[in-house]
Amino acid sequence: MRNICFIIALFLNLANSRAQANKTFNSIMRTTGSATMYDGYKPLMYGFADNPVVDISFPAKTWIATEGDSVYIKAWNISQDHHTIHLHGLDVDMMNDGDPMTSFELDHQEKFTYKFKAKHAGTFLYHCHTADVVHVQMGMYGMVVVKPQDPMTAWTGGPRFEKEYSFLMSELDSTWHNKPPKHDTTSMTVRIPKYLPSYFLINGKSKQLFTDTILGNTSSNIYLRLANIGFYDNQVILPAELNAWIIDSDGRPLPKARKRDTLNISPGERYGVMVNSSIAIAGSIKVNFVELNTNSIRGYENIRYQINNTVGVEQTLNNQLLAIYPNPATDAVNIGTSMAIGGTVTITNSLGQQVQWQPIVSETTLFSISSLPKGLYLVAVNYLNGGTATKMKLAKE
Amino acid sequence: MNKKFWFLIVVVLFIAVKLPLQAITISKNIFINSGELVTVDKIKIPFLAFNPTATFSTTNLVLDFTTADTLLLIVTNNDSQTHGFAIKNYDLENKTIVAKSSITLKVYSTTEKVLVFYDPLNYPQNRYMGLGGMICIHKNLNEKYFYWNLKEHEVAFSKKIATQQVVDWQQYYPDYFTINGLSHPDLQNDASARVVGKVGETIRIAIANTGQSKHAIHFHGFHLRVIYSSTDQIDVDSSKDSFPLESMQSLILEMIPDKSGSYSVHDHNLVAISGGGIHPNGMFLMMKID
Ligand SMILES: [Cu+2]
Ligand SMILES: [Cu+2]
Repeated sequence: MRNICFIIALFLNLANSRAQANKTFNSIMRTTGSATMYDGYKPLMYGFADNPVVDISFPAKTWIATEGDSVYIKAWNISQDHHTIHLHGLDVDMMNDGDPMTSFELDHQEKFTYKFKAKHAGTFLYHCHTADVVHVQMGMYGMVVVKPQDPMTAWTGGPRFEKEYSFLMSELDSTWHNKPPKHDTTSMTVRIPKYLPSYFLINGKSKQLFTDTILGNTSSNIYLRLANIGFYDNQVILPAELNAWIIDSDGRPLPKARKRDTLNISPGERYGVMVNSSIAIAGSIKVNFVELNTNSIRGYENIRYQINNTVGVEQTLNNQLLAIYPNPATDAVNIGTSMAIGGTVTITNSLGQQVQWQPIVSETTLFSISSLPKGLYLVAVNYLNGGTATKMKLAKE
Repeated sequence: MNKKFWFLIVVVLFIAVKLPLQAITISKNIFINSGELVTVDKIKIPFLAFNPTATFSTTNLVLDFTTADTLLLIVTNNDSQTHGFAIKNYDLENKTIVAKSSITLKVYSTTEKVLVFYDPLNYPQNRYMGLGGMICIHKNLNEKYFYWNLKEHEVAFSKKIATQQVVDWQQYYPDYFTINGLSHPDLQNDASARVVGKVGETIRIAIANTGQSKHAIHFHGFHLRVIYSSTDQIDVDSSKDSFPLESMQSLILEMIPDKSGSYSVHDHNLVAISGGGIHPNGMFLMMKID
């Protein structure tokens, strides 16, 4: 209990304001990518890459910014086709909106820096708007996450969580990928085939390839960002034990949080869902993909979850594995790992990025953390045999 | 003695309150006409519509009045088939109107909303063929309003239904997507649909889905506040950029633009931006903010 109070106090401490910053992302537009489906099929993909020498990511990488940031997206079209970046839901001005009908598109080898102010915390999307139905189906989409100043809350003054997960739903029709409909760049029209997808994807994967698992502790908030960039509805079945509340949509808090057992997410929509289980339990959230003309389910995928008993984990940590002192720390921190010599110890920031790591060669490992930004970090011990990492929080002051 | 006195007071008060609310009775005519809808690529498909006169038009009449009014509606069946009349989410018995006859009914609401009126006979075929319209009850008629009646059409289905053949809705795959009977680029010329406004102006958009498919309308540039919603999927007062609408559901949205420019609105089932297999000849429209 003391521990929990301590952590809460730390969170409050961390809520001190952070200067507005610039954030820049690279976005190289390519039409020569590929992805792997669960059955071995490798469709041709269009997409966005971080730099010109790597292949596209599918889905495109999530751009994470903080409320108040000025965000710059350096787009460079190295493909033969035309492309844009539409910042879906970010309410950007006309010239940065990426709609070729109201602004412009990037021709071969053209560059443009899209910019916008991240005014509202929330979950958004980005996608190419040139021949949108084709280029979106071909894979040119990703998520934009705008975090509030305190990254462990859903929005400024909103509910707090211990962990967050993002799930982006879409479908894939192999007919379109085997012979991508070619658009007429002069008339800006494209003839499209019937849309009959056979792959129903979450974060670009399905079946045995989709292994994302929601991991959390009992009686702690886990925040789910759910977004639909497909052309079907997602019917999300939320098991009662997860005690799921729908708290925001399209990058704005809902007027009233709603407890639901089924959540429908239509094309272009995003939802924030807070789950909190009082019991240790494992299961899955089923996502049905519903065709919109016939209201019939054409596919499904499962998002697994595993909720562990909080007390058990804490006891394990305290009794044998991990000691962090001082905590909070300013310049240096000792991490005691008596049972884990030979493994590694890692420090991860709240965005999930590993900021430091060291091999464990003695019972305590000293880290210099003076260069790290203030905030809350996760310390993990990774065993040599690849066993489960044990985690504990470190506060940098 | 006392009791009678209080009863009288209550009755007087009731009349005083109720009178101004329903003082004005507006009388309107609707005709059920049959004709053809011309698609964006000039294909003609059989269509039925609710029009203000006995002359066929593909645009369904919007019935506009305020919360202070009562609408007296005279519905005339100008078709050769028997039709019906009903209002979704409104306490009214379904009516039957034989060919070349009329019925009269009253409609009112004390709150701002959009209702969908339709033909409940042979459901959903008659409604699918075009017999679905909007009743908009405003707080006052000075507000800037736009109206979007969403629909989609599969040519083969329309032809079968027009010749009394059976259709299987589980095989439905529409090839045209319209707002007020029009697709992009024709839709740009529909003054009741194309949002034109100014920065800071309060603009309201009434949307009804009288089609069979679900449509998810996405706005570029702005979040809109929900004033009225008939669907459980969208909460009143929420602020969103994407609005899913199941068949026969309706919304009123409020937009107060904070910047000028042209901004698109479209179904984010991007297949619905096509018409006759050609994109972007579908449910797509560009708003203009000065
Ligand atoms: Cu979009
Ligand atoms: Cu768009």
